[in-house]
Amino acid sequence: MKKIRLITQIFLIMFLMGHVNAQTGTEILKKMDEIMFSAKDLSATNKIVIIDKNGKQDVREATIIQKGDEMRLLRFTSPASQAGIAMLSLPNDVMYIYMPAFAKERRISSSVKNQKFAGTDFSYDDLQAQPFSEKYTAELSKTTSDSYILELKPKKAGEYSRILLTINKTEYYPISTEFYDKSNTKIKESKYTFEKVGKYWSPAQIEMNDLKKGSKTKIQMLNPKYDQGLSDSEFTVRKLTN
Amino acid sequence: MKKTLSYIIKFRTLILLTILAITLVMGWQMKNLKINSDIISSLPDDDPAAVLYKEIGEKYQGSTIGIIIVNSENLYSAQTIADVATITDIVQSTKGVESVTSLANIINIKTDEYGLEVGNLVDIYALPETEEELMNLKNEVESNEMYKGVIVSNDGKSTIVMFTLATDVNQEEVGKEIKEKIAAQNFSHGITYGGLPMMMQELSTIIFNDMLWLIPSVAILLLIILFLSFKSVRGTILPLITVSIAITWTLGLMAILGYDITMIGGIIPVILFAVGSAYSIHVINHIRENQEEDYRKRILSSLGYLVLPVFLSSLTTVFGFVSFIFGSYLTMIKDFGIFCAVGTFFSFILALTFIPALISFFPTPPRRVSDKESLLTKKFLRPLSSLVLKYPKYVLIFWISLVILGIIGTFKIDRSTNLASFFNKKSETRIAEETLQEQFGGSAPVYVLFKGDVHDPDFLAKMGDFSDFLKTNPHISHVTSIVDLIEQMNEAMGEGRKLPTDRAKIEQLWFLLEGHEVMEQLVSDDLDEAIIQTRFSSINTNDTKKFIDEVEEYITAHQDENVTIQLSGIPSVYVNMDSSLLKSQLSSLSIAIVLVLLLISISLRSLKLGIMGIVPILVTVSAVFGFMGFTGISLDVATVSVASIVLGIGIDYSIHTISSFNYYFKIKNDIDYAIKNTICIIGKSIMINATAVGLGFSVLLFSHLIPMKFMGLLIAISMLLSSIGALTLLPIMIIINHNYKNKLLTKKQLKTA
Repeated sequence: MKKIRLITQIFLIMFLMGHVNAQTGTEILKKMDEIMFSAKDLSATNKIVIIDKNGKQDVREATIIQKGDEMRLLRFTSPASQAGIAMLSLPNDVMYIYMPAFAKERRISSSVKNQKFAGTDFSYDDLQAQPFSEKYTAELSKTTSDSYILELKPKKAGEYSRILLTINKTEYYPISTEFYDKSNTKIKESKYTFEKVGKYWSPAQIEMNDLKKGSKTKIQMLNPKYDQGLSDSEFTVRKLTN
Repeated sequence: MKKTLSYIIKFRTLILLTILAITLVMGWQMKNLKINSDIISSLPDDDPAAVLYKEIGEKYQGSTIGIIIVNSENLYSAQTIADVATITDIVQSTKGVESVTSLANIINIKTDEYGLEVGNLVDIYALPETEEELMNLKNEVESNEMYKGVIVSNDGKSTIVMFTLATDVNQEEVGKEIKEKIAAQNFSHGITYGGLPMMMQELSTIIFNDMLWLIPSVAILLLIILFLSFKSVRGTILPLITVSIAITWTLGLMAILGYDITMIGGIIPVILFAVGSAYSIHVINHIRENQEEDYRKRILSSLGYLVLPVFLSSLTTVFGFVSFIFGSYLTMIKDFGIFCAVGTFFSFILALTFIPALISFFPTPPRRVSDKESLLTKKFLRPLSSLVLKYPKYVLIFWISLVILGIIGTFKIDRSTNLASFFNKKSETRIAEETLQEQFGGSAPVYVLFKGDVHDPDFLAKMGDFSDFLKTNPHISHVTSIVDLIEQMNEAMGEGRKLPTDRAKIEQLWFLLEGHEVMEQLVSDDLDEAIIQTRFSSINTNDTKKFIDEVEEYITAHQDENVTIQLSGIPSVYVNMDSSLLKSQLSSLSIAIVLVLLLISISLRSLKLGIMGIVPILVTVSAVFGFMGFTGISLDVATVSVASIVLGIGIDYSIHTISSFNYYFKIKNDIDYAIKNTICIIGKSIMINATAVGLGFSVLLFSHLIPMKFMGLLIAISMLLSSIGALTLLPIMIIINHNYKNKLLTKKQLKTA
């Protein structure tokens, strides 16, 4: 009888532990989202460096303004052939592109989220400014001295079957991610560098490695400015033409 | 010589043990043999079309296309689309696959008044399920020329999943893996496979099955023939064992040296059975009929008598095979020649060592040669000798007309290099290829490589013009290049379905396309090259040749300092193989003629006799070529070897005839007597040998590969013709030569008198 009780207790503890872990995982992820989307708005310059498998570099520059987690305007300034191309992201997956050579804007959409964005190693999905906790369920798989490692599973089937996300234990910003495909092969990995800008933790550089292709892309955030009080009118189609 | 031969008996145990040891080692090595049906790997490294084909493969996500055809009565059903998505996924996750294109992931550029969408036709993560979604998909496919007849059949009853392979993988293995994985899914649709990697995979299976069935068949056939002619266990079993050892050695050596079994390499054992058994038969037969009382002495005296003629006979055969080494373009034909020659040599060595060493342990009394005339002599050879002696003119007319017909027919010979044409008409592979030709524009990829500035409007315009030009060919149905995508994007920007003339516009449209998977298949990373991809649907050699010629002509006329254009792809490879086939035939045949003529002239100590001896074989070869021309049998990787093989084997009959004539003419200085005896006595063994070899090769008729079938048929016919030629045409030439000599002699005598 005693034995049975013991076993029941062990099961109860294990169940509770599992429960606690799951909760903690979700909590940690939510905390990370809060850190990443805490600012009201942002303006900065992005430097995008694409390095192919032979080491050849291709550099692009763009200015970026963002408000909340759903409005963003990206405008390329170099190279010359792409200067002036602007992309506006609005809520509900609405996206516009402006092409100066045509002097026209067009609403664009990509039905395929795993499609690469403008030749970089980031997919449209990767660049989406949507909180992680909305897209993934999280479970804490490991805790180290300075980080949490979460295992994320997509809520809706997509390019990745699971993601291993490492989060800074004290500040809750992401450190690195490993992306796995359906056959559980690691296909991509990314590294984040965060810096404190004012009261926010700001991403200074995100590096994405495409392990299959052997190429990598670095996005560097230069001159980030937070909470400037950008109005919604900055994020309209009219503003695309500048 | 005699002393050397006596060692065979003296050290018989050692010899037998050594042979056993070698056989065990070689047999063990045979397990490492692999079947390799890759014809691209058989192309010489300096073939420009093949080199470019491989280069394009490395740069543009593979050049070799495999195709999976999914047949469904109801293509636009949620289940079928889901299955296509599953298959796409299976293929994508297979190692060695570079890219996959199917309904489930093909690029789609949608435009409407609001804007554009660069995406995929089907969202793999939200497959169409409702009736409405499926109807939309159907309408989209049927109204877009990028899909209809390309990814979905014209009749709407099948769709294809197309994939390209990395250049450094075993294409056959990848094909096999994909097939197995798909079979494990138990789809309810009819699924068939096409394209080179799938054909190679099928080819390997056929080569393997052919070997499995044809080798025992030829062995059993030989067993029957031997038993009927020897009526003794020894005479039946021993030649078979000897050849089996020779085959084991040959295949073992191939394994040790790292050679693979190729499409034609698979029939090496069959050929060795047919060719190599003759030497053992000679040895056993001679020992048996030798009247020497002492058994050991009998063996040695037989060997002493046989060494030279058997050596000569094997050497001519080896020369026939060796001629491929110098004359061939495809490495697989060279390898085939080398190992057939090696195997023939092994058969010869074993006939003179293994057989005497073994039978010396089992003495038998000499057999009385019966005086009774055999049926063959009575019903065939005697009448034949009368024919030759009484009506030489008619016999001569028969052969001359055969040569004339042969020459006429030779000009009608078709050539065939397309792998698809090697399969039986009713085979699944062939049917799949036909579906691909009729419904999807074929399976043979064509690539046109453009070098220049990819963003330059003139460069793109040139590519566009080239695509239009390609489409005028009846065997080209769809062309893919970056031009189509740019035109569609331009349309989406509201500027019409055409190429922008402004460079800046092109660069900005490019921005949206960049990163899409299809770009890696169409444009180089450095933007200094772009390719046009298309498929050629005809498997006919003349169509292919015409197409390549027209394209090359167009290229010459349209290249300039800014744009260089090169053509590659499977049709180019086939055309190069085709022209090389003819060269191979001519050079290997001429090399074989020279070598054999040299050998026979030396052994008969007369160039004149040598030429006379080779004539029946040349007549046979021309008749066989004519036969090919009139019956539509094509010259291909297997039939190209027939002439040289026939020359190497058939020359023996001439040597026998000439030596025998000399022998009988010496006995009684009477030409009629010598001819009659030659035809009736030596003719018997010639006919038996020719029948055995011919029947051995005829086993190939049961092969599942068309070239092998025809090769078997042609060699069987050739054996018959060359043996009869040696017994009719050659004696007549000897008579004519004799009469001419006599005339000269009489003239001289008259003069001196």
